[in-house]
Amino acid sequence: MSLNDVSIMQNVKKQVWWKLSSYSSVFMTIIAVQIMASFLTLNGTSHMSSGNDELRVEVSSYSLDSILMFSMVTVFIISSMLASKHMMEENFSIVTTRLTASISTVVAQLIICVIATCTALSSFYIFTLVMRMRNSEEQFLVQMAVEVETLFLFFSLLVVLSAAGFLVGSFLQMNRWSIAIIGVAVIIGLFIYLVPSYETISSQDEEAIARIWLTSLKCLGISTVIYAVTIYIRNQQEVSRR
Amino acid sequence: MIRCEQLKKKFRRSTVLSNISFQIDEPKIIALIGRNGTGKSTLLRLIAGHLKPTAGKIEVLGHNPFNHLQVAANTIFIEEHLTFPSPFTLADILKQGATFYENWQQELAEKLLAYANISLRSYHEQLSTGQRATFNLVYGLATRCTITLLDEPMNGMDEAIRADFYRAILKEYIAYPRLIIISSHYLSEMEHLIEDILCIHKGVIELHAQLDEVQTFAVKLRGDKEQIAPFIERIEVLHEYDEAPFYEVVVPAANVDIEALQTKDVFVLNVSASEVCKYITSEAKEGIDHVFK
Repeated sequence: MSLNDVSIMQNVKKQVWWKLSSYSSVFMTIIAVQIMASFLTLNGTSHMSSGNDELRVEVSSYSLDSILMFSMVTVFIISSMLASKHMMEENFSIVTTRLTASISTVVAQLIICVIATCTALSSFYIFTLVMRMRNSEEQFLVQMAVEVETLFLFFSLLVVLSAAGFLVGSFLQMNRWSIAIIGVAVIIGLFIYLVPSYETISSQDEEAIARIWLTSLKCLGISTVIYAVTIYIRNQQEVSRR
Repeated sequence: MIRCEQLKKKFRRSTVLSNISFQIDEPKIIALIGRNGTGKSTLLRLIAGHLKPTAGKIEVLGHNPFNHLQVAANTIFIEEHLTFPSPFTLADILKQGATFYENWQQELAEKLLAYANISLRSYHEQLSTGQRATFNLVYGLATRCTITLLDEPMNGMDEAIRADFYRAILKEYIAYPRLIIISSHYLSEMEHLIEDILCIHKGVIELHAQLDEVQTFAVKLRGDKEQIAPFIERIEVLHEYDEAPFYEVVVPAANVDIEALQTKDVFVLNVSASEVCKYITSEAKEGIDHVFK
């Protein structure tokens, strides 16, 4: 009797596709949340105006911050759900090991983050254009493009939250609240560590841009560590469908 | 194919399996029998690699099944609580099954589901208990995995469909021989298809033998108590029913002189494999009558 042989790569690839197709509703959720964030916060608009009897100048600035915050929360919740006991059980109805299940979940989360970044950008542009079209007065577009480094930072922050959600979800699966609290404390610590760098995002000088890249790399580095720890933890976990 | 040596599994303070040792080397259909809570499902989950042993050794296809991809690719574990992603219809689940299992039998799965009147457009969560059990079993058979573990696969199915699907298991086994371990409480229903019996009791293997050996393992002696008593004085009694004027005992066949008993007007009756398993795992020789005394 010949045995079937499957490589880790092949299995991960199939599982990623399986996960993306089974949880396609996740993408709709993210888009809905981002659109809602745009409407609720008016794209984080800030106004500055001055004028006299003949001339009135109003400067509107639109920001990705609010969409980012909502997206981060959404991605965190989705990632912790993907680490749930129920998802683990479902995973074992197909060919899998804990390692390939975890790696495929991480890849699926990264894909979700990429898509969330793209949809955030789209909803940002769409909403900004709608806001501008509503205004009948004469307008000048000073800058509409979102910088690459900003987008990369956006993506990196989503990845950190995604990794954190995966870690917390995995801890919760162990049903040890104390460990979950430690997990949450680690995440809060991460924020305290990351936020000072993030504040520089509004600056436009070269030093600020370098800091944005640095923050992004820090985020990705931390995410890698969190993912590695999570995969290690999940590798030890047993599966019970009851 | 499967080798267990002094396998032990504890859940916190409760020891479910205390010392399990057995070996299975060839494709066959094996019934895994035991009372409720004796560790049948735990043993199957250890073989499937879902659980990690507390102590001892388990090898499936030459590897430790916990976290081994080749073992996973050649093993399917079907149980009542099997779940699939809720957005998938049964057709989607079968389609996905085909991508993961190399020997997948799409046509067989579709035909069996059509026979059981289960629509491919249904969702797994919405099926009745019996339909879900049927679908899970069909999924397990369609994978044609080298090791197929079925944990109480017939639970919730009606009698007619149970009989049909025992036959389906047998036909599939003939078409593609593999190791099929069926954990069940309905041993009498599947005696026609199994080759071996693995009986667990109190965390250890109480019996691992071929079906015909189990079927001839014990005899039931029915007749006058005074006449039977001298023959069973020094042997182990597996079961005793003493409600005058009726008296019967079940004893190992190898330990009694059957010819001598027959000359004393004692009826010597065969004991089915199911009854043998029931008696050797019984707490009291008198059965439930003991409670009412």
